[in-house]
Amino acid sequence: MKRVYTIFRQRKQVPWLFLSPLLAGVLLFFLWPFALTAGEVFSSGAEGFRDLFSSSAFWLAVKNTMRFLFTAVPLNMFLGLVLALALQKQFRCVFFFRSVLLFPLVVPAACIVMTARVFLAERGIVNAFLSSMGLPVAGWTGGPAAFWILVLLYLWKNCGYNMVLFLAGLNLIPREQYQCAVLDGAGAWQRFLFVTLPQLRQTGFFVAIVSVIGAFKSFREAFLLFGRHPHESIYMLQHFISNNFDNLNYRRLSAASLLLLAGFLAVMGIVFRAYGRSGKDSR
Amino acid sequence: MRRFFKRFQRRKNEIIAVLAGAAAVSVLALSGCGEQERAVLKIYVDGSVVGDTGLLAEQFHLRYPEIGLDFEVLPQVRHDSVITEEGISTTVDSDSLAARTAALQRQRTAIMAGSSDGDLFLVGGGLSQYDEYNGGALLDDPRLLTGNGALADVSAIFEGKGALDRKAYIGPAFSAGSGKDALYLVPLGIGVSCGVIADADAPAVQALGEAGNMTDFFSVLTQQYPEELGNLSASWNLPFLALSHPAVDKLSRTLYAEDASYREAFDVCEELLAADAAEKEEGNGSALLMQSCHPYALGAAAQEAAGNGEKEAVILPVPDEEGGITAFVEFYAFAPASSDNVEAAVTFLRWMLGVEVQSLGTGSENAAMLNTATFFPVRKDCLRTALAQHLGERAESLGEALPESLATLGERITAVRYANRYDYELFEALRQCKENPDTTVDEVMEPLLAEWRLYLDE
Repeated sequence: MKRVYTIFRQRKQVPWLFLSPLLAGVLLFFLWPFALTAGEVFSSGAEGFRDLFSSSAFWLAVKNTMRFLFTAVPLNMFLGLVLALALQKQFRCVFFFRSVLLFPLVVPAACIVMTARVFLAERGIVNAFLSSMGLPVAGWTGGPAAFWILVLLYLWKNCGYNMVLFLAGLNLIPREQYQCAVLDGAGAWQRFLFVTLPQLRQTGFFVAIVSVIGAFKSFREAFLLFGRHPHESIYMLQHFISNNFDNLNYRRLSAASLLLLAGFLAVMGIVFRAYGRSGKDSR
Repeated sequence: MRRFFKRFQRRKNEIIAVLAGAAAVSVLALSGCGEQERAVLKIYVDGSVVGDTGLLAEQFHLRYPEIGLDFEVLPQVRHDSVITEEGISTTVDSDSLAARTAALQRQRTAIMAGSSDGDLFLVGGGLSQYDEYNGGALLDDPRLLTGNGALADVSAIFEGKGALDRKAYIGPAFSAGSGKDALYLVPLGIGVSCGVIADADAPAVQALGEAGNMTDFFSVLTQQYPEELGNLSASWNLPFLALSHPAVDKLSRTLYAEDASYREAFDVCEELLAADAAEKEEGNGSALLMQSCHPYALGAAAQEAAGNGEKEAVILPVPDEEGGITAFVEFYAFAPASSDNVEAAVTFLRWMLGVEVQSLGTGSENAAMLNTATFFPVRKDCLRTALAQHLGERAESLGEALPESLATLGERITAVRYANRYDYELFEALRQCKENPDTTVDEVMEPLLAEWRLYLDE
């Protein structure tokens, strides 16, 4: 037994032992199904992709997913940073505001959707308020407004977490750097541009990744609030994949899943590249 | 060796007797004289169509003792009705609703995934099954299952030993559930859209009877004899029940809701709604025309339409856009592909389609087996009998026991549809027009059509 332990220590296999339950789960529930999906795609050859690319629903889903990513993720990061800067200073009730902003993160998606329905239904609070003011009412969930409702829900749910991450990043910046900048005659804006932002590079990178993942997870809200076939402005790739699963159209489903993964990796690649470039610039 | 031979000689008779006994037992077991292995069919049933499952199993057992039936009734939604001063107030029992929704979801997933423990499903069709207050339907679009390998082929019903005669049945009903030369959905009961006109002597009646297709039928009502429209509150959706195609057909990737026939149906619907609104304003309550799909409802509608019995009512099936008659499947069966008892399921389905079960009427001894009042049989001779029985018993005000227009109904049915969720969505959208007269059909249809285009393109 002692010998086995020694071998383990020497070969540095102990970490793998502890990681094995998680790795087994990843292998069984992610990598194996993914291998099956890839197998399905390659067995159907180019026909699978040709069939997929001939679907205008797929292109609509790609366009909407991109639009959502490039609208919601930058907004989320920007809002998180603004809130972090505002709540970095110590003032009365600061902890209350920080907690309140983090609260949406722990609210289940079903509750968010129920609340949104109460407000946005045809006979909901928003329309009741508008009609009481003599203003025209709208079908919020069935029109183009659905896209911005989804963006708002995403921001409301995720920007609190980004704020916490940015706050942690801001607190790690040495005070001396700001003092030196002040001595050099830098104003508030210059201090932000040349001290704060470069120092938040690593945090920003992490926030970007978390935000992209969060954006993909917004499908839960979109599906629960707007259904399987929502307004065409928020018909995402996940809708396309989920509906093709319901229709048992595995060929399209597999091809679309593979492309979604490729797209996700591409977005991650852009983020990593931007991070690497900003690292070089700052050096 | 010698010793062994001597011992054998001494006990020869004993050994031969034992061997002969063993051989006899083996032969008996192999020839089936022992207890035969009994196939047990696990059948999930919808309480809306199947009544007394115990009686059903008992009757089947009398004919086929070698097949056992294990029924499991899918949970039903309970509705509690309270009579108040304002009228009847109905509430849905949320626990039973949740139980049904969960059970349907579980079964649906199992059927699609090929892991269902059921050998057969007996479920109700029709549009009302999609009503969320009834807990929704097991399948969003039953016909989709004819093309995705989720169901077993049961075309043996019409093939081989003990096969049924296909000509004795309404052909389009079986075509609707077929795909690639295989039969997946087995219709057991259907409904037909009919107009019930209170006064058989009304001038419009002859013209309606001679109408070649849906266009002619509704132009008689809306243009030639608009004064006879009467109170149309129940008939605004009649054109859509008469059409031969569903609004959305995923299998052929066709959006029929954009076709000329649907466009015409929308126009007729608007006219019927406008007439309805006008009649309401005038306070006229005479029911000249009503829609109905069920034998029981037809008889009741004829009675109601004829009122005090001074007039004779007439029932006319509404022709579809091509001049034939379209029916809806109201009760059907299917076997999941995962079933190991398809042969036994075929035997059971043959029995369900046989004269014994198809001729069950409200007055018959075993009527409690099925809720027969909600559908017509798919066997032509039984359909004629059912019509005669229902209309004869329940609508004494009808001039003839079975008018010619209904006597030949089985032959005149040219299209049969399985109602799907999209048909229900269309009806719900149009109901908005009925409830809000300011809303136009185009307004309510526009978002639906956009959604359906997306669905068909997926």
